[in-house]
Amino acid sequence: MKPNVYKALARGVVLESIRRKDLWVVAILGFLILMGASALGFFGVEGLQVFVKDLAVTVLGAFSTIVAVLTSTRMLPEEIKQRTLYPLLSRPISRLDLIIGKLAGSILVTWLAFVILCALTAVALFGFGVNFEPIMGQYILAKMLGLALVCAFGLMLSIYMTPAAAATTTLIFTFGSTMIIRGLTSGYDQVGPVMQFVFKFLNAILPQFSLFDLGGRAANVGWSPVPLWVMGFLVGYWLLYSAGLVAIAWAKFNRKAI
Amino acid sequence: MKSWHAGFLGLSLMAAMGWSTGNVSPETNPPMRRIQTSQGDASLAGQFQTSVSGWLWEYTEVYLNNGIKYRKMTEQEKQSAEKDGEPGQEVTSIPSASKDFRSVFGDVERAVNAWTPGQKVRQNDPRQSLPLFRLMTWLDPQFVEGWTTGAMVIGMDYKAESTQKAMQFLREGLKHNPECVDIPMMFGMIEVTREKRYGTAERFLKKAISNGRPRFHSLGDNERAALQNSYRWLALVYRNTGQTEKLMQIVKEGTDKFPDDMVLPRTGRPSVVPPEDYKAPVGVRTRSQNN
Repeated sequence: MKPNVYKALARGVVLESIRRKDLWVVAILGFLILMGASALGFFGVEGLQVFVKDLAVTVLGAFSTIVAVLTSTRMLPEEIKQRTLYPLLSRPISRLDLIIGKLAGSILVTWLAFVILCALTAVALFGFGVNFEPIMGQYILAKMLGLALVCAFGLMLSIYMTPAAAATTTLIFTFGSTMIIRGLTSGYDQVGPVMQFVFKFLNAILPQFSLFDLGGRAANVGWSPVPLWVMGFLVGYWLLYSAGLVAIAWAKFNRKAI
Repeated sequence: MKSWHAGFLGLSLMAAMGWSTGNVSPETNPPMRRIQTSQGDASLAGQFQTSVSGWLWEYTEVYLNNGIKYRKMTEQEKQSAEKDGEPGQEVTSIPSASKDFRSVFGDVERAVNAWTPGQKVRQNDPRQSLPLFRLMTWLDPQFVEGWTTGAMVIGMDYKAESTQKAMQFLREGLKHNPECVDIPMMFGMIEVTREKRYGTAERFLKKAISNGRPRFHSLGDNERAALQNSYRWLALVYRNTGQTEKLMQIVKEGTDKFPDDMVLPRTGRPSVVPPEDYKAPVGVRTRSQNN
């Protein structure tokens, strides 16, 4: 563990993101959310809490996931392409440190973007007098963990693929995760024992991004907060699965001729 | 003749041809009534707007069910449910613990999503789904059920202001679908039941019938039902305004088209009018007292 190294590398990623004006894009997207929200006045928002909250969590989820994917999949390939990786690796840090530091940086950038979007959305929702339930806090926490998992997944793929391919694959898995899992659960009873084993295997190894999305519960009315053991499970799953992804990334990156 | 004259002439000819084909468009690509299916992605030509509109139509159910998502049962599931003595057509998208192979992943998914066992569904106010109706009719103005169901949801509290808003919504729908049966029928129904303007109602219901009658044999289920209702409401209008001859005529025409209709012939029968000295039992109000 080299906290100072990780901190310096993460700081570099955040500064690079600010320099590239990624966060400006987020701010503009947030502004668009506010503009879109103001159009809701047309419907008369009274009694339309569900729609407004549903729209908010959908937009938040989509935009922050895109930021996570774009940030995590282009960091290392760009370092290699621009040859800025050499001065980094000439310092007393291992390739594993580099991956962890970069991952920490991409998570920070994504969380920063998510917080900006949350703040802007909250302003819009407060403007319409939308009531928040305690589950909204859990939604934000779980979403942040989910985004961190997306970053780890994107970073791992970017070592094996080109940035464009990694970004596309990550987007497919993040947005299609629910659909894939739903296909497995629906089809399980209708296949033979061999395929059932394959289904179980796929379910075990595929990233379960949908578990981190409490949007459906947060947007609707009267749902209680989720039990503490569920939040604990999400933290544990995130840590273990991310560690696995980092290990896979390191296995390839360590052997990569640069 | 110079060479550029020939080029100019050719270009003019092509432009004239292109210009004149504008009138052919309504024939080659007539505005079609959209029929939404139970699958949001069903669209012959992959029309994006219709697909999104269909998805929004399906999504209104999610709002009504407080976020719980359902899917159609497979044939195997239907048979299994019947064996268990719980027949049904739909099941929650996220399976219950007894039917989920994923163990703790399934438990967590059920905990983080809007999910309860089927019997414990809390129904939301349908007005929560109003923006969806607005969006789906913007996207696909030919989606008539979106206009009529949306109008019913807008006016569901029976307040004068809501009724006006519902009529405004229907007017917009009628502008996009002047040939449909459902929207004029809905107008007529609102005029009869809420505004008691029988003259206006008669005009709308006649319009609905004249729209549906020429293509009676090609009407879809919804339009067919709307046509049948138009006959019923128009008969009611004639009965309430004492136009007996027209009443008998419309009842005859309606029963010719819909011989199985049990309501229409009854509308034609004279109402039972109580004798003048009749006194209603205590606590019972007669129709004339209500009016």
